[in-house]
Amino acid sequence: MVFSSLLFLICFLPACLLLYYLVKLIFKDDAKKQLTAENAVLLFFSIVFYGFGGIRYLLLMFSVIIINWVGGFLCAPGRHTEKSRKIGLIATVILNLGFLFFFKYFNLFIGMIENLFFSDAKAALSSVFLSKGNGALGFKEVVLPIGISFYIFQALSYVIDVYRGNAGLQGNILKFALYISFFPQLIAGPIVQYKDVERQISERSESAELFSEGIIRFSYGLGKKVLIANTLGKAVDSIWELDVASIGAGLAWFGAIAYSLQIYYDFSGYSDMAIGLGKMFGFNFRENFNLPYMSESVREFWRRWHISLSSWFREYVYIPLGGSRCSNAKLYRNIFIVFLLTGIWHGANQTFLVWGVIYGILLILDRAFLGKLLSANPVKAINRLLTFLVVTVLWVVFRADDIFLAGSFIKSMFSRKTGDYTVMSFLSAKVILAFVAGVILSGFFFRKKEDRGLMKLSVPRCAFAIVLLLVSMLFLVNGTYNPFIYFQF
Amino acid sequence: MKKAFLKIFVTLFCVITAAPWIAWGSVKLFAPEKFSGYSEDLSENRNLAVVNKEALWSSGDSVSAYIDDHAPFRSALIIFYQKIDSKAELAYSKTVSYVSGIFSKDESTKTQVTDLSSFYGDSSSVSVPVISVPTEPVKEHVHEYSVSDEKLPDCENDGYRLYTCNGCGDYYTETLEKSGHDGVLSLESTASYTTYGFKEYVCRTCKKTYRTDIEPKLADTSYLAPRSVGEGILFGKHDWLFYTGNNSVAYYKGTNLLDDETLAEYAAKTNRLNELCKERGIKLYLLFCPNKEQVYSEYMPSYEVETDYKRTQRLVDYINENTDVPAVYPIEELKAADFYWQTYYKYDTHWNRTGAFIGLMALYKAMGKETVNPIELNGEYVPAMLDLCFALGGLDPSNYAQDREFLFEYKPELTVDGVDIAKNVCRLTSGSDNDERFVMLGDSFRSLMLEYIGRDYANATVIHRDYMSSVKKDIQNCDILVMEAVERYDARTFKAMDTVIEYLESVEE
Repeated sequence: MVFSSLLFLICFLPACLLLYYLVKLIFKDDAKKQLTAENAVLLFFSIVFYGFGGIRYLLLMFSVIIINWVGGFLCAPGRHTEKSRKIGLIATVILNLGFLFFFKYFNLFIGMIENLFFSDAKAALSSVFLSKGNGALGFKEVVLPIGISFYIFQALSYVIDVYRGNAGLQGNILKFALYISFFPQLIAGPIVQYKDVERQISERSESAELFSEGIIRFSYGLGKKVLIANTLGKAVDSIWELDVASIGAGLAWFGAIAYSLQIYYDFSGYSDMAIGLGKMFGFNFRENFNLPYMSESVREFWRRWHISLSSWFREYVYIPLGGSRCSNAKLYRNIFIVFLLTGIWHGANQTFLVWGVIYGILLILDRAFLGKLLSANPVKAINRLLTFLVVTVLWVVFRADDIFLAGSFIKSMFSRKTGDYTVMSFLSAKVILAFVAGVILSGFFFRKKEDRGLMKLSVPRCAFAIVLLLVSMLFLVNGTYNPFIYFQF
Repeated sequence: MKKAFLKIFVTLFCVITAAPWIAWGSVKLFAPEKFSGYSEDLSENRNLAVVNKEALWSSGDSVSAYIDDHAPFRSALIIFYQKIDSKAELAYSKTVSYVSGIFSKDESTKTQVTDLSSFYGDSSSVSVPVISVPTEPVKEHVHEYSVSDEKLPDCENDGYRLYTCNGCGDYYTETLEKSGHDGVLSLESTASYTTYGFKEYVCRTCKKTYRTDIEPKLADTSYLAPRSVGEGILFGKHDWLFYTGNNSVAYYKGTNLLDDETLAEYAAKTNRLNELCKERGIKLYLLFCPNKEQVYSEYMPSYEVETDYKRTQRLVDYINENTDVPAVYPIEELKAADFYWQTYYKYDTHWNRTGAFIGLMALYKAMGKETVNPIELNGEYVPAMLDLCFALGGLDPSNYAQDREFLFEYKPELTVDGVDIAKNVCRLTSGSDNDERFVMLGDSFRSLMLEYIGRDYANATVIHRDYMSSVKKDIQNCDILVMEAVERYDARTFKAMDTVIEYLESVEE
């Protein structure tokens, strides 16, 4: 199930809200029972939400929940010897990563073996960079369960936090299950670290203010996704469907910038919806995006983009490796490892690997000398432009199906050819409006301090939220129109 | 912020998400007439999604699809959205055209007008009969001439008087000058981007209608960037809409020419099929209906056309040169006819009933069959029957002027049974005295020829080529076999030939 669907908006969400506040009302005299009932409602709906993707993936998530809950007991300080605790931690971590590797990367792994060892020698070396194999080994494709990257990371966050003593052991399996499976952040984040949410599972208060903030957040997010991201997405997809050789420089740049906007509004919109939904039930999640396109360096970009992921890596990989409190050589190694992993985390394709590694290199350069150079530059607009260009070109790598296509597309961007298609052919009133709105709201031109403005409640914001909600729902309904022309063509 | 306001805000949100079903249910229960008004059929022509109970274990997609297809007020909302969307896109198109018009030169060169009658033989001139003269020399003789034959002139044609000598047979003719029309001006048109210039008269004497002072349409050379919407609907100039499916743009630009190998392959297959047909006494013909883009290229947006000698013309020329099978591509006739009537729909990719008639007459000409010059037919304008571009493009028809087509009154004394443009297999019967068994295998362009074919043949089978298996016997036993294809489906005719060859080979002698 996705948030931006009619099923969620007019069936699932109202039912969940109704039941949640109903049990709140029913048990208003017994705080303990009230909390249990509320959590039960949320857990039930989360199970239904995830179960929509298939019962077997639900069973997979249950296994992960049980393994990690038990793991918590093995790792908790005070229960066992240090050695056993460490073994418990390592075992749980290996199991988690094993699940992740199998479901996410097995296909790629087999594919690379097939391409390298089971195809003719000439093709082998170049085809190893393709993400698909040639089927020589006859393995059936493993389907990637939705959200697995997110909830496995959340599970890892729990065992590690418990091991370190940063969070208390969660003895109640239902509460733990709620932490792992809570539907607002299950499918697409933000990745919530256990210690940030530990208290809220057992104690939270809803209020009209928080709920209203949630509505505004949710509506803004829905608008970002449906009105801007989806509209630009259609244009970007049709550009990527063309034969790369026929794309001229102008069209390539338009496609690249439109994709930068699309991915930002899609992902940040979804995060907004997740945070908004959390607020409706009394949860406060951390921000995941903070106007990343107004960054003036790549380093700043990664403080503003997918904040929950970079926080997770910093907390559980970077700092344990020594962070920045070590020699330069080790620092660079740490940065490289973190970004290699960041790239891999995003998907099973060499494009993501290259994408991550390039960022790693850029960040090392930033630490070495580039950062100082950029901050010495008085014309910050240039820094912003350069950063946006670098980010946009790297998004092309991210979007492409394989690195050869990425290379061709980037080549088109920097060529002098005009191509067979004009940008005009891909524009329409809606695309232009979405593009312009996307650029203005991205903060690139109007450098606002923070994206916190959305938090403030005001009558115009509430009204606008309602308008966004209604317009987005209209767009979603229209999206279901799917005519079949009987007239045998 | 005031608590009361926030409570109202929260309630409003919950109402918006929860109320649709309640409102929908209430309208259904308490105002059923209004309910049907909100449930207008969107002509999606598909079954609405149902919940797949068995598949629920592996995916809830069918439930999501079910909700999508049954959302409250879905039809009303989609129609509302399309109305606004069309208006916005239309305003955008007009702005773009206007802006690009400022930056382009306006050389209003003219298009061409070919005389439609030239395709149907010169029926206006009457040949003077030649009478053989006896060769015996005649002795001194005084001729006595008297009128032996006479044809009176009319408005358009000279007449003659034939004087023959009663004695020797010598003769001479006297031309009687035509009187010329005594015309009353009935219609005047000025040349524009969408209309021809002419003066139309009705003759008081012979009651015929004719046009003079003919001026071609002005050519609109302004730049219009190609832009499509929905399922490949291309915005043309002056509100014309085109369908870009099946690579039509490549046909228009002339970038998809067939190579010699393929042409030879096609000719060889045609020859093979023709061999089999001749053995069975079947006459084979190929008809390629031009793509709308080729006939109404004046309304196409600005593409770079690489050549004027395009794929289908080359194919037809090749087939005619290298096989005995007549291949017909009536593009010139359809363009010439545009002077009198529009031959393709404005908001649909198909030829209209006028165009279908023109195309059919071109086929008959190649068959050596008698043709009718459509100018001589009566008829009337009716609202256009097809406008599929709207649905395919998600466009609101009310933003566009009503299209119309000219319906010919062709052999009105006959009635035809079995005409159904939506059916894939049509067996037509009529009181026509032509008992040749006619079979046409084609695509959607065949549908509007049904009415006319039925009047020319007592028994005709006209089907979509994907349904040949149900008319195998008709194909094996026919007298005339026409394989029709719209230009963008040219390859499918040759693919279908494989099946027809198979059928004809399998008949026991």
